[in-house]
Formats: sequence, C-alpha cells, structure tokens
Amino acid sequence: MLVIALAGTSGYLYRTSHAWEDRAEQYATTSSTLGSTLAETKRDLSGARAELEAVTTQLTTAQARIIELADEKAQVGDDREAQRLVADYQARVSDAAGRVALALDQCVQGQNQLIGYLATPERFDEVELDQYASDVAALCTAATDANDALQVELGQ
Amino acid sequence: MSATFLLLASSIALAGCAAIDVPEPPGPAITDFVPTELPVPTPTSVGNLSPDGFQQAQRMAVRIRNVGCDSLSTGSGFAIGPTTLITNRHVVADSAELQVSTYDGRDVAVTATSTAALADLAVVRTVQQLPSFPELAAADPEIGAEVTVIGYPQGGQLTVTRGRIIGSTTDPLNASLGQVLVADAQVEPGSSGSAVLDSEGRVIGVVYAKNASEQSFIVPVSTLQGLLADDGSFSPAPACAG
Repeated sequence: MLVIALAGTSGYLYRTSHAWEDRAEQYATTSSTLGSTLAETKRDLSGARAELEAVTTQLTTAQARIIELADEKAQVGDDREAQRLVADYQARVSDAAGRVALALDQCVQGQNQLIGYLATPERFDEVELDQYASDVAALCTAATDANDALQVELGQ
Repeated sequence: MSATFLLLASSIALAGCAAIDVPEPPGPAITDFVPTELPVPTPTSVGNLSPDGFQQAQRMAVRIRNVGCDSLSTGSGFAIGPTTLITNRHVVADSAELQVSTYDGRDVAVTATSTAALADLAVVRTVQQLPSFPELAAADPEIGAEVTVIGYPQGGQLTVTRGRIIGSTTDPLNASLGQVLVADAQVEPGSSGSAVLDSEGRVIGVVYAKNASEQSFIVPVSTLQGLLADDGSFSPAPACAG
C-alpha cells in the first residue's frame, strides 16, 4: 500500500512539476518576446523624441525666420512709402519751381517791354500804356505768389 | 527492525505531506500580459497648438503703417474679431492710407477706420480675415498682476515684453477720460496700440504712451469694453489734408 501511495504521489508530483516546467518555459518565451517588443518600443520612442526635439528646434528656427522676414518686408515697405513721399514732395517742389520760373520769365519780359514802351511814351495811348503796366504788375504778383508757394513747399 | 523503520518513515512522510500544500498543476496559461487600460499620459507642456505653432498672442498682433500726406509712422494693433482690430487713435491720425500686416508678413487691406473721442482708441475694419483674436478680460487687472505686451516697438520686429501693473493714474496726456493703468513693461514708440495680456492670454488693456521712467500707460479693458458697447463712441477717422 505504501509503495503504491508513494508511486502515485511521485507520479503526480512528476507530472505537476513537468507541467510547471512547461509553463515556466512558455512564460520565459513570452517574457523574451515582450522584452524584445519593449526594447523596440523604447528605441522607437527614443528616436521619436529625438526627432520631435529636432523638429521643435526647426520650428523655432522657422518661426524666428518668419518674424525676421516679416520685419524685412515691413522695412522695405516703410522705405518704399518714404521714397514715394519724397518723390511726391520733389514733384511738388519741381512743379512749384517751374511755375515760379515761368511767372518770373513772364514778369521780366513784361517789364522789359514796358521799359521799352516807357522810353517813347508819346507813341502810345496813355490808357493802354497804364493797362499794360497793370498787366505786367499782375504777372509779377503771380510770380511772387508762385515763389511764396515754393517757399511753403521747401519749408515742409 | 528495518520494516518497522520503513513504516515509521512512511508515516512521517505521509504526515508531512498532509501538513504541507500539495502543489497544484498550473491552470490555464495567461496569454495577454499587456494591459488594455493604460494610464493617460500627462503632457509636460501644452506646446503651441496653433495651426503654425505661433503663439496666439503673436497671431493676433498687427503692424500698422500710417502713410500720411507728408508723413510716415508705424504703430501696433491687435485683432478683436475676424475682421476688426484695435489700435490707438494717434496711430491712425492724419492718415492718407493705412497699411496693415500680420505677424507673418501678410498684408491686410483696410476698409474703414473710426476713432474714439473719449480715449486714445481706434477701430480698424479689414477686408481679409485676421489670423486670430483673443478674448477680452471681464475686468481690469489688479495691482501687481503680471502682464505681457506684444507689438512692434520702433516699427521693428514683433516683440513680446513682460512686466507688472504698478498702479493707475489719470491720463497724463489728457487723451482718455478716467483712470489709466501704469505698468513697468518696457515699450517704445511704435508700441502704441499693442495689446496688454494677462497670464491667461486675455486682453486687459491697450498701450498708448510711456514716460521718461520707462513706465507704460495703458487704456484699461473696462474703458475699451465700454466704448465698444456704445455705438456712438467711435466716429469715422478724418483723413489728412493735402
């Protein structure tokens, strides 16, 4: 009886230990697989983090460059508008100077003509001579006004 | 003698077996070692979640070029709606043309400009949509509150400066009724019209001046809110003559 009991117990223990041994081997294989997967995941994560850091740096650089380019464009725009204002100013000054020159020329020509007329006033009708003198004075006044306008432009 | 010993040993062994747990065979094998419910990761920083990675404060800022009849100046502004931006009255004064550009250099056409008589504020309407616009704070900031100013000092690059509200005073320039805020955030000519933001990115005022002590003066958001709520407070800005 004792031998049978011992033999049965031994057989049971053998099968049990064998089953546990198989299970341990199976779990060891699973652990190895999971370990490999974990290692790969860690490697991928590390790579992704490095890539993210690089992309973040690139983004920061790109943003700084965008800000710089926007500023450069704005400065070019400022220069363009400033030059346009200067050009407009120069055009107004040139126009005013031209009007002054024309009015002065008319004034001088009129005065020269008037001087010639006044050298022999008996040859002309007195009323017409006075009218001509008045017209010449108007031309000279226009020249003075044009000069005043030019001075205003120059003063700006 | 030996039989007696063997019987005694077997009895002890059986008694020992009865005293200890007999090992059970392994049950069903566990096949799924990966948990299905993982802890939610907590981000270490929120990052920049805007479409292009720029901060919302940068995206709402605009640079304003005031081309006058005989003058040229620059100022700052910020969006408060899809096609509406706020700046200072003196930034848009005596203008023949306003030229607005965004943080990334895009030009935005202006349709109308109106100014407030009771504060150094102006509203500019645009044709194109502005990239982003912030929320206006419900109340003025407390003394000591941290503030961020974003604008274009000296007409240069978009710049973010920080400081604190250090008090309030009557307007030293007599450009605004009521109290204005004083901050130690450094501003420059060209910063006029810059948004002043609280720590949560809400607008708490508009920069309009500075003094020799490098203190900046700010039209508080309560004044801005009050004027925006009053239809008659803004009138079309006159163009320059010439």
